[in-house]
Amino acid sequence: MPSNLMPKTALPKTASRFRKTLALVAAATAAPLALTGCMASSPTPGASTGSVQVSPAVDADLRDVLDTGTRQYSAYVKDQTDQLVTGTKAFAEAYAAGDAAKARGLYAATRMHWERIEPVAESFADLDPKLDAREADLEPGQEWTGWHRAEKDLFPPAGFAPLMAAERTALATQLVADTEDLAQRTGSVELSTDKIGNGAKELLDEVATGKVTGEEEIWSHTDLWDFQANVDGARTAFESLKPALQRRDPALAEALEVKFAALQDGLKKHTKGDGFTYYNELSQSEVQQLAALVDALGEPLAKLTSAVVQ
Amino acid sequence: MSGCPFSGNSGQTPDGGAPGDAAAPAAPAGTGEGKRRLSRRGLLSLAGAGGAGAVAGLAAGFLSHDAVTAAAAPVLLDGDVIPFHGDRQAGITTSAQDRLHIAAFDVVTEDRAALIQLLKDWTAAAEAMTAGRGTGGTGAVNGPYDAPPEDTGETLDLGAGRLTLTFGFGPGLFAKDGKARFDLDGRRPDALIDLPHFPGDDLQPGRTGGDIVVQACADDPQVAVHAIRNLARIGFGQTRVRWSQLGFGRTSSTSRSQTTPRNLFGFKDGTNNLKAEDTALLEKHVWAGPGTRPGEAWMAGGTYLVARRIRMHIEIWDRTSLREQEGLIGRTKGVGAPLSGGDEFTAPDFDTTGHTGEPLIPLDAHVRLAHPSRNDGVKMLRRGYNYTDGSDGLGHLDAGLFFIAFVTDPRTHYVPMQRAMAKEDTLALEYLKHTGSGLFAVPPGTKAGGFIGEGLFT
Repeated sequence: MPSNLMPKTALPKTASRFRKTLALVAAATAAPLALTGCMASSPTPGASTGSVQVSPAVDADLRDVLDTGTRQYSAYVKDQTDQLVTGTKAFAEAYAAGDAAKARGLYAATRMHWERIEPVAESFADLDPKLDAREADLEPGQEWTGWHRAEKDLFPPAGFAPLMAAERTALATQLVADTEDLAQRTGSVELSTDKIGNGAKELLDEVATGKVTGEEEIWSHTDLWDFQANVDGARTAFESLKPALQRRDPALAEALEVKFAALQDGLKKHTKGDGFTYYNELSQSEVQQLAALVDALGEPLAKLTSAVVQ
Repeated sequence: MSGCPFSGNSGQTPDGGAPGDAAAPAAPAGTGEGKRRLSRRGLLSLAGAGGAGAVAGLAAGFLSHDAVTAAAAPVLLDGDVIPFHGDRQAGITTSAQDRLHIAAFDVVTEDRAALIQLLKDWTAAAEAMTAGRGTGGTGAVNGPYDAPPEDTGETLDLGAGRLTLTFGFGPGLFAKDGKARFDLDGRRPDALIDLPHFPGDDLQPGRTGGDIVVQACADDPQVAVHAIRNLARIGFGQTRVRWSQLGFGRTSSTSRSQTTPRNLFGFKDGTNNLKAEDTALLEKHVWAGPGTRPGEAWMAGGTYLVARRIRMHIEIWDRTSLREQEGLIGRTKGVGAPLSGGDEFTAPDFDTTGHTGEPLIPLDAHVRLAHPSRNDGVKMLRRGYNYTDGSDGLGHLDAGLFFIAFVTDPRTHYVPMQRAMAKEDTLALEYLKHTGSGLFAVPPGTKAGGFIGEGLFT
């Protein structure tokens, strides 16, 4: 139904990512001056934007809870970033060495670390397209690098001319370098309550527009791995904010708990071995059921940020 | 009328309705707004009819209806708003608005309390939107800045647009895979059958069925789309849209103050449709009774909504001669008079023959086959809309009629006629294809403080 009622945005994926990115980059840049900078630029008087800037009316206890949540989520991002770097190196090594079978086996599982922290990773407007551009995202003349170029080479459509060994090596080297760059920059991102809450929503938006439609991984069809990783990231963000949310809006906390569990149950039906069923093996009704579960969670999840920063 | 998407039949005279009944409480959404439409648009319609060279009798006929209706109907202070509350749901005898957005939902929860809460939430949203307000306590722009707005906002500068929201329950609400749902064992009305397969049906699963239907009609398409969009949003987690359909132009009149619109074949449609003023006929043919079992008594005062998405092969039709087109319909294309003579509202005479000895109205004419005299005297209240869903990839418009009819019992008032039409009607056989279908039990209206379909859950 979303595809019938609400056509996807006409903007290319990169454009929408860029839009989100602006906000996050601005916030990250302004972080040291958050109190003054953010408040001054906020168009709504009284709209606070994070744990550091909570209004004086908020009790110190709640601030502690929010700060603890922020620290937990920051640690999660760091951990996932570290695993992404390690995993990417292993993938790149196999790929550059021409070990296609090993590279194929590592592809989806490694990308999960990226997908779990996607909003943070996407906040770097230059790195996101280098690492995660899909062929359909490219502008004329733009060089195609990153995961999805390797994907097409590893899971080639009929008639596709494989990359040369030198091209693979270059692609693999660049992938590792860009990922290390990402890890370094991620370490300096200041997260805040509203960024975490909005990040949870964005992760689910990613599922709704790219994964449940099978568009993210059009060659490998490993969309459900990405799906699970986006949900993992959103759930972790929610868990970080939950203690605060339980004080502010226990009904919403309970609803999110239930909807996350239902979505996880729905995904679980499609696990296979260590991974998942390929997207192109899902029936239309199975996709519809997953989409309904995403929508069911998406509505209450969109209220999370407001409920904790109000 | 009748099962047929097109044409009138009935033979009912133009002044057959009892105008004095129009304001009866049984039809709260009935003719009150009809009068307002006369003042705003009826005069234009009259001018249009005269300019098109309508015969004097036709114009006179309109005048007499309008005069009577105007005298009988109360004045509405706010003509833009059709009241949501009433003994009967609005959007049935309400004079047909210009636009439609109808959606069928699958209920994805199995929790009875969640379903009831959803119906309560939908009731509150319907009350607000039909009154021209946004959904939720804070609407589109007055909520917390860090939260998504409760209402989606695209009707902020629009009025209520005569929005009506009409709710119905499909068979799947009562049972799924042979198991009763929501403790509704025994509550499914006997008249809410599973429609049989009709010859020629090409029903697509994604356009067929559904547990709950919501018909949104308004004079502004954005108002109708907004209503379905916001109800769908409120329903996430409990419901999933199974199918939805836009209709861009009404193909029926449900009040004598309205002119007869045309379908995409270019013919007037619904000339002798049941009208809000026909209160006695509505009781007989449209409103449902309490049934025969206590478990189905909640439907008393309701009705049954039959929905059929009827694709027209319009490119083929357009290559058909005017002689054949009129013969297939049984009416003239210009005025809409039966081929047996007279004006639009003259009763068709099926016996009169021409100089060749053949009946003036051909034996396979749609108007003949759909006529009550051929269908045990049954009539229906049709409320369909023309639709176009882009093109079909072969260079043809995906267009046709989204047929909606309200009947007292589909077993007597839809199935027999549709079965006959699917077999004998040349128009249906050669130019129409049914691609979607649904049957829904439309409960009686909602009272202030109550909720949609409350009787089913008590």
